[in-house]
Amino acid sequence: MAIYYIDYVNGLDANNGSSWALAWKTINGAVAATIGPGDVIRIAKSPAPTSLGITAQWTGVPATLPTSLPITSSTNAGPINVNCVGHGYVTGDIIYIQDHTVNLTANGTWTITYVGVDNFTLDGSTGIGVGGATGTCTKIPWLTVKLTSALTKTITRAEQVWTVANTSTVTLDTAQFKEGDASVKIVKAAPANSTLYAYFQIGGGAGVNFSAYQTVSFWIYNATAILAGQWNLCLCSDTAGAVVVDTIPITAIPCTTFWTALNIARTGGGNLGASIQSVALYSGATAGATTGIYLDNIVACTTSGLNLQSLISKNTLAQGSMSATGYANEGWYAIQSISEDGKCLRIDSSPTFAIANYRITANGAGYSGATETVTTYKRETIKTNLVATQTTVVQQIQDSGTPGNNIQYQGGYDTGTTTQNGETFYDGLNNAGYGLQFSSTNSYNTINYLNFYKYSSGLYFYTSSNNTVTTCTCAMSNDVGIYLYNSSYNNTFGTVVNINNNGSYGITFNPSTNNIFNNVYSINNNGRGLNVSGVVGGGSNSNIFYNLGHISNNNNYAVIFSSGSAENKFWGPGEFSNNTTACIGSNSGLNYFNNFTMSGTEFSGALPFANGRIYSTNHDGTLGNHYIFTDYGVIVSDSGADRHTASGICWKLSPTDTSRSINYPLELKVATIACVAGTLVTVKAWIKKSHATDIAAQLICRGRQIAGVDSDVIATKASDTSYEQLTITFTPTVAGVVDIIVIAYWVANAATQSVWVDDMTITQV
Amino acid sequence: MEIVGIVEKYQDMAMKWRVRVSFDDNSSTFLKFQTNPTDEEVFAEANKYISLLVLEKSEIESISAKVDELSIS
Repeated sequence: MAIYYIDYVNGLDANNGSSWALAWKTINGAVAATIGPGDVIRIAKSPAPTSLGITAQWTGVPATLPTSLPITSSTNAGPINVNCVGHGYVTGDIIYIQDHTVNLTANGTWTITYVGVDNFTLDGSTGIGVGGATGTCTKIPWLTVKLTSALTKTITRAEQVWTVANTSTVTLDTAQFKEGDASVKIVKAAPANSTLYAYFQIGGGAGVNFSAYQTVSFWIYNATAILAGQWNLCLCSDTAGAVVVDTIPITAIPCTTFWTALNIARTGGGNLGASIQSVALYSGATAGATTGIYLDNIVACTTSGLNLQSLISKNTLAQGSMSATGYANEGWYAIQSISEDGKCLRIDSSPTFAIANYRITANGAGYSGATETVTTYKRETIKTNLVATQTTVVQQIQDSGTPGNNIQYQGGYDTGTTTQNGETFYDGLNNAGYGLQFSSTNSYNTINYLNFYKYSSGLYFYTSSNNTVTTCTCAMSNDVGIYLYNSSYNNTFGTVVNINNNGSYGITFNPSTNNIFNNVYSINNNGRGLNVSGVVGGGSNSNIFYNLGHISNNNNYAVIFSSGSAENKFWGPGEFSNNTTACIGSNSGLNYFNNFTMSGTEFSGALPFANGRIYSTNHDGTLGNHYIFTDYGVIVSDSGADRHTASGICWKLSPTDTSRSINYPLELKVATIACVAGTLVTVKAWIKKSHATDIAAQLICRGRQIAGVDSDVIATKASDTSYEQLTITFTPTVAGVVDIIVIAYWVANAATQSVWVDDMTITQV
Repeated sequence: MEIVGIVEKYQDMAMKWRVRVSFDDNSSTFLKFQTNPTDEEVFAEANKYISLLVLEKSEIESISAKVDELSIS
């Protein structure tokens, strides 16, 4: 066994990886020609959490999301006074205003101060005109983290158009933005070097003091690739962008049409200017054309302080994602925007969500957890190279281990002491690419303490098998947190936590089988939680989840099965709550849950006449409470007054549609009997109906299951509502196994009746 | 699809309230509540169920259309 080293900050892939001094830069550097089965690759940690030094208010997703209210008017004043009839807000509430015209600076995220039943002011705002009856406001506390004091200082939120300089084209773009309701877009076909192309006055005629800050953080979206040296963001001491005080060189961005958060120190270092009156975009020393540079949410930050690239959390731990109680510790959240007053941090969502609609009226975004005001922490990440497409591989496992000799990629190493006392957080920055790919030629690898934020998919398995992933988080992905694609099987996942805020799914199987997840906690705020799907003719089968924790606030299902995915097993305790569509969606296949608590709609999406089933034993965490969900019917264990006697289990079969007729009855297997050859089998069951003639019930041994029983043996419940003991007998001529079923089916009128089955006896003589 | 009425209402073994609601297409469904719901709460939840069915039907039709399109091409 050999030991190798990876250090993204100080390493080079051309090194030999034999020490921290000769570490590789990326996992791609650990090439198959060098490493082999059983080798250990130690990966340098990212910085540990640091306290922001203040408390912040965190708010969990409410059970009922607030609706948007129409704005009647707003004032051209500081602060802006908004008229919104019967708003119901109180001082300190956080709201989001969108689509308000004329008084454009009202758009954005605000803490409000109550003025009257129909009025409130926006803390720290300044109007630019009298706004009319346009736009809406919505209370959004769960989408924000509210700081007790600002740690940054806003330069401009880019809600107003900048001034054209030197024949550029400058517009306010309301289709692309990360903060408020717009970004500023600058286009220049053939820029000269070191030339002003757009500027915006700040401070209202007085210089703004940014001397307590050293970096500028902002969102940029570029329609044309940017090379280093092509563009500079500048802070200027005059109102027209002419006298540059601070130059912020925009770094190379090879990808296009992705929003990227940057945090850049001024050229020459030191503090930003003490009397700034405008912000400007200049071409650099080696100018390059652009068909669109979009800028948004430009803020001044301190060197080691909070910025738009920081992750925030209540979590204090340098390492360890599990709490003593077994549930996940708090997850880490990326920042989508910082409000005008610097106090409201919007939690980032997938770009899939953010651009068209900030999803303020749906789940799938924000924070899931306890509502409280606590000390809050930030964590800086390792920023990987920006990639250009959703499917570009950012880092890839390069080799295979062998059974019992996995190659181990161990994150969280202190490069000074060579102890694994932290974690490694990789950050894609722009929600593109696969954070780490396990390809079809690479199996038997182990990773731990590696986390992936803001990629297209965090972990991507492409026909890769027999890998082990422990202590991992994949969050804020544009598409999927953990993607098991194209027959990736026999992979084991342990302590996979906080798979949050991913655009499409937390974890998806498409199709992939026989993977085992143990201790999977907190899969929240995604498009869907778990997506167990496949292709036509092949589902994802026989995956097993143990200790599946909270799957909440996803914008569709907590878990959905499709393409015939079957025989997947989920062993609780676990909890599904506040998922928009339902806890479980399933179109076909038989899948199993045990000891899950489900709130809201439990089951939906059944494919008609597929007889797919969700078996939920010990449902809602209650021993003996069993449910079988299927299309056009439900079967439950009944402990109520309708049962025959109070021992054992009484099953209640309830067809819910006339489609469950004699041709498609609601069926329940009630016994499997090991038969002795030539011996009479007698099966008895007490059966009752809720209506004499609208529903029918039968006790059946289907024919041709075993020699000697060539046709169905049936006993039919009489047309009454009393309990009746039905009896069937048969004599197999060979030893073997037969199933006994009870069927209930609709006969007449509405499908609102039920059948009960209780107290079975089986004898062989 | 319109609500006809409440067919039955009871607490299950987990002490959750289950209410069976019937519809004018002769179908029914069981709705779940944490506490004993009023009729108004039941009907509000039943209307959400109807909306969900409509959404699912449109999704199925959309997928079917895509499948047809792929089959043709």
